[in-house]
Amino acid sequence: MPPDNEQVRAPAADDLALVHRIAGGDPLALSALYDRHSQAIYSHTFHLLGDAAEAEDAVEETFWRVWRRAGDYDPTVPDVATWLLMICRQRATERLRAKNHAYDPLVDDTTGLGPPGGAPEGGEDSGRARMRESLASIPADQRAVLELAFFRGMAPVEVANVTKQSPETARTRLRVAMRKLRDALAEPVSQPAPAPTEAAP
Amino acid sequence: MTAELTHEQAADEIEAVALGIATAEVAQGVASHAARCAECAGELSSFYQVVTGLSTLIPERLLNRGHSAGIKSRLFAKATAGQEGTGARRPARVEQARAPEPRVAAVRSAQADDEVRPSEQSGGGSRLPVWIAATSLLIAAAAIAGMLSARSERDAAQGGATDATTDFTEVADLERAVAERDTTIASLSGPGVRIISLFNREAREPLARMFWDRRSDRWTLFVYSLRQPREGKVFQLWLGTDNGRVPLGSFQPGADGTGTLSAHHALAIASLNTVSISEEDVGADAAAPTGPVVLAGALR
Repeated sequence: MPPDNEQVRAPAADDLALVHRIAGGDPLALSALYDRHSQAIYSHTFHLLGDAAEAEDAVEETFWRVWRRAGDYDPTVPDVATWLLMICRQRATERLRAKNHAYDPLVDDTTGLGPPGGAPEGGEDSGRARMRESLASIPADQRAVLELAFFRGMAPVEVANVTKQSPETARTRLRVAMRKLRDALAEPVSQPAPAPTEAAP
Repeated sequence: MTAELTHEQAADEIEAVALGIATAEVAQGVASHAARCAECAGELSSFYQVVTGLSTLIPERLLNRGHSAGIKSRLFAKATAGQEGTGARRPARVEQARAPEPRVAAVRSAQADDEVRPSEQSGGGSRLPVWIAATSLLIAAAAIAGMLSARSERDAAQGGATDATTDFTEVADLERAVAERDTTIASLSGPGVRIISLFNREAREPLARMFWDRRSDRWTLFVYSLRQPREGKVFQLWLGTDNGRVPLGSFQPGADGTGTLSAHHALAIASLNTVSISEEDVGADAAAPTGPVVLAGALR
């Protein structure tokens, strides 16, 4: 089976260079950027919107915005993937608000985290495992606000409504949770203790 | 116009902005402030990293490849509208370029080693066999019509006389037309054929499809609902590659909006970015698109 276009081209193309080309009006660069990131963006928008057609529309809006606003790319954003993530989250949350989405407390595990402390069968990569552990280390009330904000795209006032707390409390908990998570991720990775070796006879 | 935020106001919103849950106006305000404030820029950047990390916890959800091709094609069509520049490439060899009188060249039957990818079939994927059947009928009908037309002209030249030899010739012509149709069907639906759907800026359903038989380097375009070009204009088919545009030839759809074009051009699959149709001056022999792109599509 021949390789896909993106599989061949991706290593040769640099995201930032593609954004510069897009800013210069090169539609082929938009096409290449789409090949590289559309799948990840779709996963994200689908998770937020819960509807394939809406998620696809959000993907299209995201890349259309990239085309129109590539010249506004902020070099302080860590990378292009993060920039795309920000745009797609913005588009998806706008759609959620337009629909006046309701939070159903009976629908659990929408965060994708699964049971507390649980990792998917078959294991996961170290970065993901670390993020999961870091998130689990945050106190439950703060983590709940952060999860609703990130995985449900809820603004602090919306979080406050569904969790029966004041908007200020929700906002404060969100801020504290984000800082704790940042600090936890900044800590050096601890090496696992070596397995004990059997004593020689 | 976005109201300028104070340092305290911006700092209060940084987490929400990084999480993408702030309103567009607030996000813009924070971004503007961060552009002037190193402290807030640093904070924002560090929270972006957190959000990027959180995104690794989002379960992967596969984007339908056919739908993805449609999204990409619409984006490309919108982006290329008025964006085409100039270049210097000679047209590839064109075999036919006009729908009303298509003459189908025999296409080498492909051997099976890989299959038509579902990705290019979807986004209307379930309708692909209908497309192939319809295009095949179009080809066959046109070929037979052409043959009958030739026969009519010949008969007229002969004063309407027919004989047994003529009948045999007609049977042979019909058999040839049927064989060509079968060969074309095999080429359109056979292994190794990549299919690219073309859209305009608004259409969610493809208005044309390009069949690329990679084994024979043959490109066959079928247009099913395309307006007539403006006075003095013609439609030009282009391949967008990593090295620039390659013109495949020009065509004019029939009165019913249908049209076909077939050409040979060798191309590595990794080099193909897009297929597009632009409107150009008749006889301009443009080496690169100069007019508006009316349809465009892309692999995946």
